[in-house]
Amino acid sequence: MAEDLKVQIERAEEVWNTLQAKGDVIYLGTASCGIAAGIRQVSEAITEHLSTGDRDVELVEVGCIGMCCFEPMIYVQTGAKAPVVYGGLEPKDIPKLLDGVYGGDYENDHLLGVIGDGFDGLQSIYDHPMVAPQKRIITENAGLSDPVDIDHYLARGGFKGLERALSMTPDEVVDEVLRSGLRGRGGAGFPTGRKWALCRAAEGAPKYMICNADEGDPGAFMDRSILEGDPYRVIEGMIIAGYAIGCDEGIFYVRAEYPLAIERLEICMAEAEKRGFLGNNILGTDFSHQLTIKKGAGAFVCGEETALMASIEGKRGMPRPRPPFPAQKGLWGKPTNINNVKSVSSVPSILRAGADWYAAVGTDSTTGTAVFCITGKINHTGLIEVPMGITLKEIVEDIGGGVANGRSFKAVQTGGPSGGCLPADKLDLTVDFESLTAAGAIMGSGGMVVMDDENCMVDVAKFFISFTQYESCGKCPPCRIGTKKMKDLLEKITVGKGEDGDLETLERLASTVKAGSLCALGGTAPNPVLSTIRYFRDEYEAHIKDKVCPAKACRELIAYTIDAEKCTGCTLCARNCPTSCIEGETKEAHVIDTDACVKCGMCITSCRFDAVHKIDSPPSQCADEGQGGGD
Amino acid sequence: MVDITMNGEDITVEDGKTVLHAARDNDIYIPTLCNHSELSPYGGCRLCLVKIEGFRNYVPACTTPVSDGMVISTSEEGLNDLRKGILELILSEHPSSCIVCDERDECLELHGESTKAGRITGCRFCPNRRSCDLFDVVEKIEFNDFRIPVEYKELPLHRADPFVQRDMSICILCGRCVRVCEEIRGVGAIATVHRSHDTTIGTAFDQPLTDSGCVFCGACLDVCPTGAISSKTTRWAGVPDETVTSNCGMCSNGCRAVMQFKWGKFTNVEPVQDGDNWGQVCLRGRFASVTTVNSPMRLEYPKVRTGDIQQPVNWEKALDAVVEGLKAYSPDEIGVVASPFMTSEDAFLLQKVFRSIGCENIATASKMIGPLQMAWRGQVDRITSIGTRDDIDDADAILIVGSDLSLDNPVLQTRVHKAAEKGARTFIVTEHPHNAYRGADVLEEPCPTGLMEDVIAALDSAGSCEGCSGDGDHEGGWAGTIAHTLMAAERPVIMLGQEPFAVEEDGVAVSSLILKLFKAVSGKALLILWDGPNVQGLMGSACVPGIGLDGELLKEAGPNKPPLGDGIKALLLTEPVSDIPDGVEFVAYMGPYPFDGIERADVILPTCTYADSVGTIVAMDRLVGSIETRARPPTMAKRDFQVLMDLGGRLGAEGLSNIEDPYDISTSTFVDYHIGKHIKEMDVSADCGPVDPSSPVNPAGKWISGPLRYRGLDITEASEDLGAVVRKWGWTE
Repeated sequence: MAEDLKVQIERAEEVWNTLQAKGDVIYLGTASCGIAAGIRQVSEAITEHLSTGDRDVELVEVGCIGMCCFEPMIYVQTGAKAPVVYGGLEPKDIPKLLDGVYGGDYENDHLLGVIGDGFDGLQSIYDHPMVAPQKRIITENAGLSDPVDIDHYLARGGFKGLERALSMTPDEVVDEVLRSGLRGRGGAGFPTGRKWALCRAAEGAPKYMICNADEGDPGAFMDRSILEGDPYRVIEGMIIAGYAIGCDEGIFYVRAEYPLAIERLEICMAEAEKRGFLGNNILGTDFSHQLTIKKGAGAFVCGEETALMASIEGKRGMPRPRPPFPAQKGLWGKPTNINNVKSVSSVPSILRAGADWYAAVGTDSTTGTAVFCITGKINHTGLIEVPMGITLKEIVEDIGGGVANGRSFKAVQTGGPSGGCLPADKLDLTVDFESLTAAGAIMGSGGMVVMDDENCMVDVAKFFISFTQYESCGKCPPCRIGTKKMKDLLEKITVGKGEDGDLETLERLASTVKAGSLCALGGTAPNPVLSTIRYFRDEYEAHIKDKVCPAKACRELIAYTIDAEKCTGCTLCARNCPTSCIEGETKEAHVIDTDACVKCGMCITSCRFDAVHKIDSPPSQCADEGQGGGD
Repeated sequence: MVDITMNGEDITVEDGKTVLHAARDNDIYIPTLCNHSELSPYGGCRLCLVKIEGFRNYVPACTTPVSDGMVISTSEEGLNDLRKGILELILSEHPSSCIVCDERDECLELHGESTKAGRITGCRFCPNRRSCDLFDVVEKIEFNDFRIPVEYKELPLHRADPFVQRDMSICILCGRCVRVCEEIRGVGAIATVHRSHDTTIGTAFDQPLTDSGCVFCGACLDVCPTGAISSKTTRWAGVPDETVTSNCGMCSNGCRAVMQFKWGKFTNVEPVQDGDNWGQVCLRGRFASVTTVNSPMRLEYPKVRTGDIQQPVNWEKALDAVVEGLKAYSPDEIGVVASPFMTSEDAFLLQKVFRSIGCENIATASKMIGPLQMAWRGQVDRITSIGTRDDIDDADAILIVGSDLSLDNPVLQTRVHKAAEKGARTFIVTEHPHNAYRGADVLEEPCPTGLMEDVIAALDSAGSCEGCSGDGDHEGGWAGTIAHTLMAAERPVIMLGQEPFAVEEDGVAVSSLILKLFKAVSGKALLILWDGPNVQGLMGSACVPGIGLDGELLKEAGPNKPPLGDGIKALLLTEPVSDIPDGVEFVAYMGPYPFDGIERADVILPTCTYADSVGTIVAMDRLVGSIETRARPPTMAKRDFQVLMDLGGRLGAEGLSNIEDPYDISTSTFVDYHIGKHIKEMDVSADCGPVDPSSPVNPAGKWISGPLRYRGLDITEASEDLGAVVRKWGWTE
């Protein structure tokens, strides 16, 4: 059997090396993000352009390398040199770019770097400021190989972890994971090895292994990128976990909104089974493991493990109290282990390179790497993998390239709707489970949203509580009613109707929801509200007392005005105004009729002279009082 | 046993109990709204949160099992505040002026007097009748501090469904109704629907309940803590001024239930929480019963025929007319029909009066007795169920023939469901498959004779059969599958319903086959689902030809002849018959309702129902129950017992002098009867030997009986809602 694997790896390496040594290859970043950004159109342009010449160029689809801000991306490989990455492409850029590259001129505005060592004066992509501070373990293959080609995976070290695991006893595998210090990446940070040991020790058969890919945080797409970019890694992790726990059935719970991830998983599961990595007698051993996919219908709460299991059982996805824990009574009442995609994906590397190697990455309490999706008002948005212990500042300023459009940093939100907002003076915090939780945010599953001075923190809190409120399953009153009341109060504050005592009511409601809710959805739902009150209380008070929104984001509290000094009377704003509330003669300063203005912001976006501004405009009581005055 | 500390006290608790149970056992109050003793723990209302040392967060007492050394605090400052906070949230959506009103104490008396409005608008109009769990919890934890804005949900009322009205605006989403429907009744007609703040309880796609699989048992409204689901038949009646635990008299299941009365009127039925019916009642017992008993069709006055007119008269004249009418005939020419809805005492009295004047032509209006007598005599010594309903609980295979249980014995379904959940494979062979228990394999079979023959034929090969677990793909089809399942089972239970008895020959054939099958598979119990609540009791009251006073089959030919046979010229009916023979010259009818053919009656004696009578009835598995009710009979109607005593006196019947009330009969005659106990076990495996084939049997085929009849009345006429439901289920009579 070992022979067989060796043969397979040799053949895979041959395939991979042939591709690397090939004269002309263009790699296309074809994850959902790339597709959305237009890689298909770029690909068509490439095909069209190449059809005019006589170069034999192979096109290879790869996953997401994580530099979302530069999508769509292609890597052009010529004459066995390392591929050169170009980003931010449009179909019209292709002829010039390819002609240049094939003429030996690699440099242009789209150049990002070389995958591998730089040459001809080109910089390695690994020295790119967005990539340099990263430590890529889970995402080591993402974007660099064809995700569904098992040979690519094998050639890049795939299934070596499984091979090693199968040469050990299950207890040794559990111990290896325990020693690696890996903690669950779903948010709670429970040691994965301990979870496995509990399930392994639990009485009952069969046992189930579930991979939780019900990623639903707004602005988070780590799991999707991993599943799309390196599905074999997740499959390998599942098989190793199954072996360690002693179960022969694994289930991927993937949300149905991830069709590409599901499609690739299906292809890869079939291929892995064909090659003997999955199914009966894996790699010739006695161990058998079957994998199936269960599509989730898109309820955020189904990421909660007891709700997730209910959903698999065909019931309404509602959580139940624990104990009993899934390891005791899980799916169909049997011992069940549930791990997040990122936890599962860490396992092959741990088994391949050893627990000590993994434990050396990160901090003492939180080993390994963290995968984040950095989004928001930042220059470099994308999927990043960083060693635990890195500071938020490094992430925001170095990797993220600082706040976009030259504005100033206000807050970073981690952990999605369950997380919290941290202000500038918390940027020196290190990324690990404990420090983020202590600061009122959470590690969460990896969403990270950067906000600038145009973001109103009350509005941000309202956005997140609206999300959790809508996603509440409705089982327990604190979450079902409490989040609604919080949302209503925030709504009241953002429209300028806040009163004294509202903040206290909000805090009281938050503590009831937090302590009273059945599951973590409700238990963490108040976090965005509590953390913004904690760090940005002055903004709340400005809304409540002065009826103004310091960030000028809350529509009810602002008005638009035109600076007569700056206005050139170009009429562009007046022509774009949907309600025709801007008046003025050509080449004369324009005026906005604030009564008719719907505050859509079209004038600001259309003005080329920075003449339109938002000003504070507390909701006038005169609308109610003035008319009644009678004078 | 484990040792725990609760609120500083060391207590010892049984292993496996929850913290909530432990607290209740030790008289420690923990508030809860979603918990219910019969239902699985839910952990939804969050009011039972307690502090347990070692747990990061508060945990719900209702779902957390105790473990050794646990240190629990059920009441401390933070916890009490949290509970009040949660309660405040619940009350912010629940019209709760009855709870927080300043003048609450002054008007408490008036709570629940009646629901004068369709929708709850405040304290006075709540459909809940002084049994609001929410109210109790608010009282107990002394909540009185409202600080968050109140906003009612104002959802549309569901008032189009039969029997029940749903007002989801006062629902607190405790989930009890959903759980009772799924876990106890095995129906699953309602569920939690929508999400977030819009979450509510409803049917799939908001269908009417008639389309959702609802069996209208009303279990949901029993467990509803607030009155969000309420009974249309009773929501206007207010709080009862009298309640009594009595037997339901609608079917042979003999459920104990709490009968409620107001101002002498029968207003409602609620289940007894831990009776033999598992805290359940059904659509007939709960809903149709009230409208049936209070039906405007009830006979109110004694009447005597003069010419073509049935003239209202006083009781004296009516009774005299009966005596005069009967005296014109020899006792041999008089036929007497006993109603299976009568109490055992009334039935005994009926036959005693007529036997004492020499009349032996007495029979019971049951379609089932005769065919069973013909099929079973010589093989058993009594015509009765073998085993009891308790045998269903640990059955490992169940076969129900000739009933879908949805109307004739609905409460039994709760037991069948429980057994099926534990793994008993269940087959239901019925002509009404539409609403049969969904956990069973349901076979539509208007006449099960052929199938039963096939099952018996397949028994021989069933022992050696392999791999027949599939549905109906067994060699020999369903017959083979049933045969194998019963053979393989250690404790199979068979039930025989009334459907095959519509045709006498079919009834005989199926009865014979069922007994044969039962013996061949060494069954644990064979339950006869009788076509009347007290058929079993009437067999012990000497009202069935060929059966003695103790219920035993008579070995020798008795003197009885069919009361509707040749030579009968005068009839005393206590149950309507479909066709009074032309040769009958005089008809006296005593009963609560008119019937098709009542114009033939020369004397009409209005009597009572089970809601206004007293006596004993015996359920299908010989469980003895008593009727003990308080309703005032309409106008001049009298109890059967009183009418028969008066009539007996006038006819010169002997031995009535020492009878003052029905229980004088029970204590002297039915010595085996103890309310709530099964009459002594009867062994059918011992053959009773030859019975004289010329011994008469109860005549079959002419009786109006069936699950939609009560003393001859088509109850769908008394309850329009029931009519709507059964038509939906595909029932036609």
